[in-house]
Amino acid sequence: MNKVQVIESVLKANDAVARANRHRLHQQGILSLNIMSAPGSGKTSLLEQTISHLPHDCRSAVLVGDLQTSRDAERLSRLISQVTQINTGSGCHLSAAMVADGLDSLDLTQVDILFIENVGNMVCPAAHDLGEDARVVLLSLPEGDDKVAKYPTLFQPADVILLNKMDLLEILGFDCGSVRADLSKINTRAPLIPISCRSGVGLDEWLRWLTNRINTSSVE
Amino acid sequence: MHELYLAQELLNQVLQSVSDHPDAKVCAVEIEVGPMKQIVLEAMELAWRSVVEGSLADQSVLHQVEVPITAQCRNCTRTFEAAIDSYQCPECRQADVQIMKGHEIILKSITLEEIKAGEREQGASH
Repeated sequence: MNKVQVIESVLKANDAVARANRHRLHQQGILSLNIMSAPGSGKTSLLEQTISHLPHDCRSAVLVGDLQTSRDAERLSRLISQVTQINTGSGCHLSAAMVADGLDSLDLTQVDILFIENVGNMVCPAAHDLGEDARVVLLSLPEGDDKVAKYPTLFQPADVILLNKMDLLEILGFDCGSVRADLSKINTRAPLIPISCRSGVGLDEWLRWLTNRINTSSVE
Repeated sequence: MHELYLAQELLNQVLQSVSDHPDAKVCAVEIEVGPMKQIVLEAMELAWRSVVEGSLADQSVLHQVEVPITAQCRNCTRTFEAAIDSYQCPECRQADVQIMKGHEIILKSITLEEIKAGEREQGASH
């Protein structure tokens, strides 16, 4: 019997590629955001609204992850040219290696901000660093006001939390106070911004957060 | 949910770590599991059994040791043990923390056993 001591992260392969992605993006001066949520929370709608409202001199690109279809990429391609769909097959999250391949498909010299739309899933994406600068987490009202407490590992590392589909507030009787109470135990750092991609409410506040983030990263 | 992926990554790492022991097989693997990785231990065990089949770690036992979450408050710098559903600092009541431990899955050790001559011949005949 011989015991070999190792002490290495099992995700070290993913983490090494994530570090390389981060370095590559920073060298090009690109801010990158990893957008995570359950399926149907409105990630693609958020990107449509965001890209349409960003200043013209802020060039964006999107890597969009889904198990199947290129429907999200087709929607976003109507707004910008640099969009790549990543189909994960049976994979329930994007990995750093998939993002690295996605970066190869983009002309990074023409990008200021990269949005990575993760696969809709509230568990696995949170466990994988992709090399992003910030994590954007969406929660939509139809999912219920208990999701922060139920999925703490998604919300704990979030840099900003968007509460989407606020236009349904009265119909659903969603309790925003309950979300805030849960966040007081899980994440008090990330601002909680109520928005509606349909009515446009709150999007100005989200765009202000994003613009501040772009300006901060360009100063760094 | 992602146990199969993690088990495969773990096996790759184990085989890489023992590549300079050509006459040994893996009989045990010890990992430290952070609660924030949201691993279901039973599912990880099943995933391990499935990925090691036919490899040098075929008959190996997977020892999974759960570790607590250690967090440092970004507001007042206090270090404390957090729970999976609460990261509130006991000092200043903020939930703005840097996770120090408990968000990783770490390969700690691998126990090797020498492959006996008979076993090697048996393995070679497959």
